[in-house]
Amino acid sequence: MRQIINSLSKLLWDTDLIATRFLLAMAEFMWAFLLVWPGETFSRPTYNHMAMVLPEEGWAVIFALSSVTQLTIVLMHDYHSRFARYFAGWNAMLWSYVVISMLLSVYPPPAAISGEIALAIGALWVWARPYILVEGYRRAGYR
Amino acid sequence: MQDTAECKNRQSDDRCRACIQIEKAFVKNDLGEPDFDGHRRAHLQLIEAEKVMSSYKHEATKKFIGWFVTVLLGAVSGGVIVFLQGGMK
Repeated sequence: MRQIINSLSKLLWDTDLIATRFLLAMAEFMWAFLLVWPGETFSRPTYNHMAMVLPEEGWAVIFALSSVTQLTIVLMHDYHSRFARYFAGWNAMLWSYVVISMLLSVYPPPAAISGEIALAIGALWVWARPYILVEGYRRAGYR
Repeated sequence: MQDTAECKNRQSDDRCRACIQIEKAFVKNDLGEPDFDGHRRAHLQLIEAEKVMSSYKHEATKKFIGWFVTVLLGAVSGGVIVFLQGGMK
């Protein structure tokens, strides 16, 4: 058990999140790309909730902007600036909303959004981890 | 005999230069001397801080495992309830 906790601890806290950010950027790009593909994507019931908020093109713009911002953060190595932290918060909200809206729109829960659920967890982790670590550093007496 | 003395002097000079190099690596204390003891204490503090940090990470990891298991059990229970309700109809 100790070995498992050590491994998980390293996985959670001592790995960089660049690959996660890059995956999020790619997924956001694919969302934007597929939403502008000719046809009515939002005619499917899975997107009912999202369709009530914005039309397909609106969501495509949001995902495209998020993708470009995420990619810029990765390419500029700008992970800890105030902007990057606020963006991580926004990104976590975006992915969480997308997943929850799809889960609320159809029943039974669509298996095809398993990847989105994992990405939402990844986005939440990118946002939350620095705050949890800062609390640890404070307790450890780092200045 | 003279060669041996010269050799010893040279070795002494080399050691002296090495010591000066090492001393340069340390910040000065309030007496203007290299702060060897402060350096040692700083290392001890870092080791202690790292222990606290490591323990904090382990505790947080255990909490995450707990939450994950709870969510998983909740989801599985939900599925089982739905399955049983479907079977009763």
